Amino acid sequence: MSATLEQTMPEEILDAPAGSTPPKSAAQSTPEQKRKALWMVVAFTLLASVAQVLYKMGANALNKIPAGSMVDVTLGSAHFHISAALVAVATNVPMIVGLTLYGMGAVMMVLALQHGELSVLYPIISLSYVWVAILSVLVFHEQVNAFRIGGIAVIIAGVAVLGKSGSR
Amino acid sequence: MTTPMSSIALVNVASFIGSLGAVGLKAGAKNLKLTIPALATNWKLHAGIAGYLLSSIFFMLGLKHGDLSVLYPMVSVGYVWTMIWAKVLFGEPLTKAKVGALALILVGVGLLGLGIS
Repeated sequence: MSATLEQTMPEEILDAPAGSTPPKSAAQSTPEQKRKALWMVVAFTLLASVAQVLYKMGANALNKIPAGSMVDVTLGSAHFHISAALVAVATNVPMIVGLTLYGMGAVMMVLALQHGELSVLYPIISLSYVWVAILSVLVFHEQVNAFRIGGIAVIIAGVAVLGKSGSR
Repeated sequence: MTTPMSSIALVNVASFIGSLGAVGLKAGAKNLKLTIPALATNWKLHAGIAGYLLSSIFFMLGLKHGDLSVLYPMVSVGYVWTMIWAKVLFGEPLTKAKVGALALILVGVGLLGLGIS
């Protein structure tokens, strides 16, 4: 696999504008670091997709609360008369776990960007569409159809091409 | 269900701001030091995160109305913007492989969008 990758390398140099130098950070990164960056973005998309599903579950629970309703909360000797929606968000476990996963994903994304090209790593985020499409069928029992299967296959093909160009 | 122009505009603004957020994250990641003072003063990173938050607000406003199968694929237009910024601002080469891969992804997201309706 690495032999074919190296053969396609001159194309990249030809496409670069005359006199331009590759960005310092990308030039200093080893192929090993670049591959690691690619997989970190893939892991990020998995985390973000699970987070999105948890978020949707949490939002479904929130929809059951009437708009504008208030509740009384007692913390020790202090009493509060606050929005029921606010309490529901603060105690909504799927939503809190979802937000935490988003935060972890953001850290991974920044670490990945240290060693990879933005133009390679950013479109890989489209894999999250694939995971969400699969999770929507598994968790929310949405219908499977030819468009969805075709879309998933074409996105994966695109990401594979990016991965090839980004790991050298 | 018809999709109002305002929703289409909001989603496109969101993906544009999101692509600028990615530029901020990349610029901030270049000289990343994992110490609290360094992270606290990494304003490029902060600008990137702020860009993402702002972009998600526009997304939510845009997705309130309209057909998801129309709006969903439009989100991926942000990848095109990002590839342009990567070339212009960071000097990343725009190869045939990258452009081809991006075209495949846009087609794939479009198909997924059609599968929603």
